[in-house]
Amino acid sequence: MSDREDLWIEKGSEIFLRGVRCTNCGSILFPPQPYGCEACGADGGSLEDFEFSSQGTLHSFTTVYVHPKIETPYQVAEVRTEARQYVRARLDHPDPKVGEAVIGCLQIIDDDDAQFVFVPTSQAGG
Amino acid sequence: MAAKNILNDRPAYVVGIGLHRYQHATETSYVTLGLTAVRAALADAAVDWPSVETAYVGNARIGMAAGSTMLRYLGPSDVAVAQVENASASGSTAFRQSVHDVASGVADVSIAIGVDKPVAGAGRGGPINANVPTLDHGLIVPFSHFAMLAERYMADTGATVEQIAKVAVKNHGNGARNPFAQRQKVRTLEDVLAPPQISGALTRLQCTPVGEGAAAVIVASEDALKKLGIDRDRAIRVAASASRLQEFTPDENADAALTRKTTFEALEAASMSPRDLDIIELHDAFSIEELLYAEAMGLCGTGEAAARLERGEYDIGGKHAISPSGGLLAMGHPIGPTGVGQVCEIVRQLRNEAGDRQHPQAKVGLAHMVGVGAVCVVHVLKR
Ligand SMILES: [Zn+2]
Repeated sequence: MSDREDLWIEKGSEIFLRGVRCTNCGSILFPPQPYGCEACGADGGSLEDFEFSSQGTLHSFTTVYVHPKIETPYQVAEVRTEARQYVRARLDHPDPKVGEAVIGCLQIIDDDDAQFVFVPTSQAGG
Repeated sequence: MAAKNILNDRPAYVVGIGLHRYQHATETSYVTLGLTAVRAALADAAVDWPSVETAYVGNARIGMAAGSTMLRYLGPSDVAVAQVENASASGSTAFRQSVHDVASGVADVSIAIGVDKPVAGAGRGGPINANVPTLDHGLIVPFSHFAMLAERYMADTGATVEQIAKVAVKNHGNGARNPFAQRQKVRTLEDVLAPPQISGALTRLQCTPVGEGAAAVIVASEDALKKLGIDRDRAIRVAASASRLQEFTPDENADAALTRKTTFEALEAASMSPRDLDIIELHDAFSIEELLYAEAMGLCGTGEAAARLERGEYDIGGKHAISPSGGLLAMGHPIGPTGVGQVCEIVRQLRNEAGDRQHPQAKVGLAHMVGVGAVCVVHVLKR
């Protein structure tokens, strides 16, 4: 899958995520899509762009040792953001634990374009 | 859904089972795999092919019209054929179609078949064609999803890496007694924990092998039992069928919620509770799933499954025999056949024909599959 710069935006020193919000029921959905609200069934016309903080807590994580195309090992995380959304992305953390505070940042991976990566909140901005 | 259970009014019975061994992919045509299972099921039921009125062929990897192409080689018949695709639950869904044909009176005899193998040029699936972007750059694959569930489970319950691995020790032990299993070796805890490490706590022997194979079951009505002179002692009744689509559950583990709801819908329709279950064949593609689903199904309280498994409660001869076939971990997961193969195992157990892997006094069995989507399909069978 190609790099998805349209899924995040830099706001000052912080990276925000770009999802959609349902104008019918208020649910925030990520990733964004034009099809309809999974929570209430409202059609795609009810979904408006919504940017939310990438700060959250580590719901879970793992290290992947085997992948047909991507250099291993690498870490991935599922993060519960402050907007109550679960977001999955690469993780860069020396000693992750469930429940820890993390935040999104941009890193250059394999000479590629910038990728969204979760890091410990304490390390952000570095 | 509190719909009325049509299986109470018009019983449906499994009267024949057949398998082609699950194995690593070979040059064998899917037609050979599938027809081996179909002919075995017809022979087991002592029913001839022209007696079969409808056929559902579950697969997800062998492309358009695979089912109809295969069944022409059985010779002339009036059978109505359809191919069924529902990801890993394709075979389970084919079985559900056969059961409903019989229970509704559309057919007196139906066959559900699962056949699959990896073939070149298979198309991209719905999740990719829907073009919903993700942030993960392809980093998240099925085993990393389940490795994250394992990590979370350990944090929530205090279960250990060793306790999760013991699921695989048990299921490899069961598979070693199943001639249709892809993996037929007894494995120690040390074997299971040995590298290669795949993701997080999961090692190779805690991940299902996806190869090829086939399974078939024949479903018949009360009228068919009489008309065709089918052996009633070997007929196993289908008590309930349930199928659900994943819902938006922001505050609950989506995999566990889907299994919980589907299982309880089936148990309620069968007027049973979790403690009635003697045999459970569940979707243990990864060791951690057995613990999560045992809890979601209500076999024990939240966070208790690891300790109960360690005490032998889920062994053959234990409180509930979970995956006596070896499950997806040892019997294997050729995709289309898997859900039908679960029904074959439950029928064998309830007939008391499972030989050295027989669970004593098996009267009720439950088959559970999940598939990408996500979907969950559950059947309850009883003798
Ligand atoms: Zn909504």
